[in-house]
Amino acid sequence: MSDLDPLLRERLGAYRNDVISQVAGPGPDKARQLLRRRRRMTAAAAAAAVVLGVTPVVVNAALHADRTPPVPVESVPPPTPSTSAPPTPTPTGSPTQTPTPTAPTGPNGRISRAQLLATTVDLPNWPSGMAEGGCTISDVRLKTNTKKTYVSELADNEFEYGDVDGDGADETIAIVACRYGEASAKQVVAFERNSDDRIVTVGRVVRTDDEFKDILAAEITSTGSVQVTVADIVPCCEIPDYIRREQVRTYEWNGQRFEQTDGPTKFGPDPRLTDLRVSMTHELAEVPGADTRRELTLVFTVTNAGPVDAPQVAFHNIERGERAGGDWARCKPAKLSDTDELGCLLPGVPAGESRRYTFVQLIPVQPGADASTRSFLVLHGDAQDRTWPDLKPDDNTVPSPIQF
Amino acid sequence: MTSTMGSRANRPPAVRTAGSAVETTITFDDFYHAHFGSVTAQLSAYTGDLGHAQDLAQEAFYRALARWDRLVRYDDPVAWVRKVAWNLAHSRWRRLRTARDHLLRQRRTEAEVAGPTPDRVAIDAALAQLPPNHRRAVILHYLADLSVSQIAAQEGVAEGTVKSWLHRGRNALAALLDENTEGVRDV
Repeated sequence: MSDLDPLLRERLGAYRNDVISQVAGPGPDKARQLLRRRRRMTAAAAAAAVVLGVTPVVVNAALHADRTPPVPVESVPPPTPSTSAPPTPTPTGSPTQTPTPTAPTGPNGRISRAQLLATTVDLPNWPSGMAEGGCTISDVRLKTNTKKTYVSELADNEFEYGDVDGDGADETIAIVACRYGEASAKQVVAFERNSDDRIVTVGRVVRTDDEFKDILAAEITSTGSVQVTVADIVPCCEIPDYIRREQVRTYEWNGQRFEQTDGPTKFGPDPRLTDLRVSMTHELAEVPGADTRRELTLVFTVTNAGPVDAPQVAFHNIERGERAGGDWARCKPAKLSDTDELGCLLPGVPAGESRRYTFVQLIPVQPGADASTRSFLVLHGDAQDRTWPDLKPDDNTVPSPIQF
Repeated sequence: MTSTMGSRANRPPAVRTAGSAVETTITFDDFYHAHFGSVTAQLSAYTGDLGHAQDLAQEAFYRALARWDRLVRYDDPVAWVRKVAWNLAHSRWRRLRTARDHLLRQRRTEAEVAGPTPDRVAIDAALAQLPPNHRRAVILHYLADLSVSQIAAQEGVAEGTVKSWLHRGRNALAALLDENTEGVRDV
């Protein structure tokens, strides 16, 4: 230790003695009174449940259902004893009034959905843009089943209960959301009660961000860890569900905040995707005889730069005239989205290889009124006829050489 | 996997084995009176708020009482109380939630008890300027009398990290206290 050590030790020792001389504390009797009071509250809740012939959880839900007037959460006794209470201890003969084995270990942090909705809470920060839109974080009264955007709401997920911060009492894990369009920013938040039985926020387990866009579920393990199922995207709109990837990530309280302790930390590139590169040549020829149309031949060269094989290749937006040869006969219909016209699905390209595809069609000499210069799109198709995004989509389109 | 995999800093210590359960005669009252002041002093140094520190300590001792028959068999029951109290203190959200109550309580406390000594004020002010990690290390070492290895275990970090925190915290605190002392003298 340095020379500073004895000086600091002496000075901080004096500090400690000074504080101790002024502090007696409310005393052990006060702690005992509080314990008795909380037990009575728990017993009263349990007795009410017995009278009604249902479990305390059900009673609590019935008493505090959304249709009833808001209940001051601070006055609601914990509905059930902790399920993660320590194992039944062996009697030690302690001369103090020791608790019964079934007593709660502290303020019961098991909070029902109705109780949380009936009070205001502080929330951890939302991702950027949410607060500006209107999702506040201070004294928030959470909504439910709202269709409005930028309103802090409680997700539909069931609450989870367990001792996540190792303080001997259960906490409640809930998922809160801020809708910003078709999707919502979400965060997994731990709540508990303080010594006044008020619902307070312990902290955020995790929230959506640029790296992943959705939280699907949260679960507390027997060791107090929180396992969160996250998804990289929200497959709304025209994005099919199978594009979404899910991961289970584990978080634990480190004394100050939740940190990830297990599971993947990133989604990274989707291993199911590959990099197709497309080039195209074309020929436009007059048709012999009386036909006034012209024959357009499109020749696509598709290179699969990897890393995975493309069992099939889907061509979109290429058909405008009458099919007149080439690979048309081998086409299977390829659907890009609900609103897109059917494309052509053909045998694909292994990673590291190239294939050539030819499409011949008869098109009018003069483009119609609705003609435009379009782009042809080529995508990777799997064995189940599903199409996939490309790792580098910029080189998956080629412009049409003519208007048609 | 690039995430931190540190152990939890707040797990209860291992329960003493039956063969070594020799000191089970301590009562909760004795335990309370023996340790309430020191735990409060540590929390006061960390939070800079004596009233808040007393509340946190009382809550931690209440939780200890609720499981006293098990806790009394631990090798170091006060370590459990200290961890619980510090966990409570660490929660920014709970502090925010009760900030108003503390203000009210602080005013009441100021009216009822003698004010802090100038040296305590100076130490509180100096500690408040340390980064939280350094502050915790200094307090746990000098006020809770924990060794480097014990702090490392509680914080879930390597001993080298604790030594670094202590080194930096100690130097910064010494400099700040010298400044503060000089400032007092100038007045």
